Amino acid sequence: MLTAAVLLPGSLAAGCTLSDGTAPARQRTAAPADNPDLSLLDDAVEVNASLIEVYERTIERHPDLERTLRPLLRSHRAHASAFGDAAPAGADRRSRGPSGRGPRVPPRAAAALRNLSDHESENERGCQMRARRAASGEFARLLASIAACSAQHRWVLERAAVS
Amino acid sequence: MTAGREALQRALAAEHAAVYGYGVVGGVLGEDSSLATTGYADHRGHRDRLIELIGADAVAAEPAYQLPFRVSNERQAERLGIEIEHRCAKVYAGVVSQTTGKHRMLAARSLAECAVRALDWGADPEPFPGLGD
Repeated sequence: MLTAAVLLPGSLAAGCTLSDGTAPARQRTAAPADNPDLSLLDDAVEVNASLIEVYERTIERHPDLERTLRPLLRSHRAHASAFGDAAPAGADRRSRGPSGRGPRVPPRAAAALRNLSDHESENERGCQMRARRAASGEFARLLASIAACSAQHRWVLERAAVS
Repeated sequence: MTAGREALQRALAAEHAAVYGYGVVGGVLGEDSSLATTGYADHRGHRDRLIELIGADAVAAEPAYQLPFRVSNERQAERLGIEIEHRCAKVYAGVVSQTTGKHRMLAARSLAECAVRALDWGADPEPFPGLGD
């Protein structure tokens, strides 16, 4: 069974399991206050939460795309579980526009798919950069894997956009 | 030898095996298979880059490799393509955890490339490429 018993020093995500898609809430109080990976984790959680919201809004607006998008959304929910349940304050505000109605979704399906692909590309680059900066090797490994997942999602989305 | 250097050597050993494996895949699918041709070229490029990074004591290729299963038709060749990419992805994920800086970045990008090439061969997307059993 695949486990990431300690992603960050100081039991920040101790006990986090990746095999069943579930994970306990982050044990922030157990982590050293000066853990340099905390801000990287918060960034990753925030971007992932935004990505989940874009997927949800896109499925709402384009129900015909649900069969393609639902498995990808499930992966991002698994990432959220791996990161832990405690999203930083403001995580669900980042992707909202001035109206507070959530991220904009293009009205045409192909454009909506490319919009998601752009978000995945941003997540891929962001996770790779965070992996480079991470002090914990295991946390870096998780981030690099999530970046690779976003690369796979781009592959799926780009092909769906032209089919 | 440091853990980072050992991890790079494991990646090089995996790339030697991948180049051999892609030779088998190309032999079955023929020169017209762009996936086999580009995959072979990509892994050769990674192999050469790792040899350059590691230097004089870079691990050499084995004379031959035992394939994980018989490969004599198109379907088996595609399955071997997936197997090669999954194995390399896992090795690169390990390199990420054992290295820092530019070597870690190189490994992270290589991991993503392997994950995408696996899809080219027909694999399904997965939530955590390179972290599987």
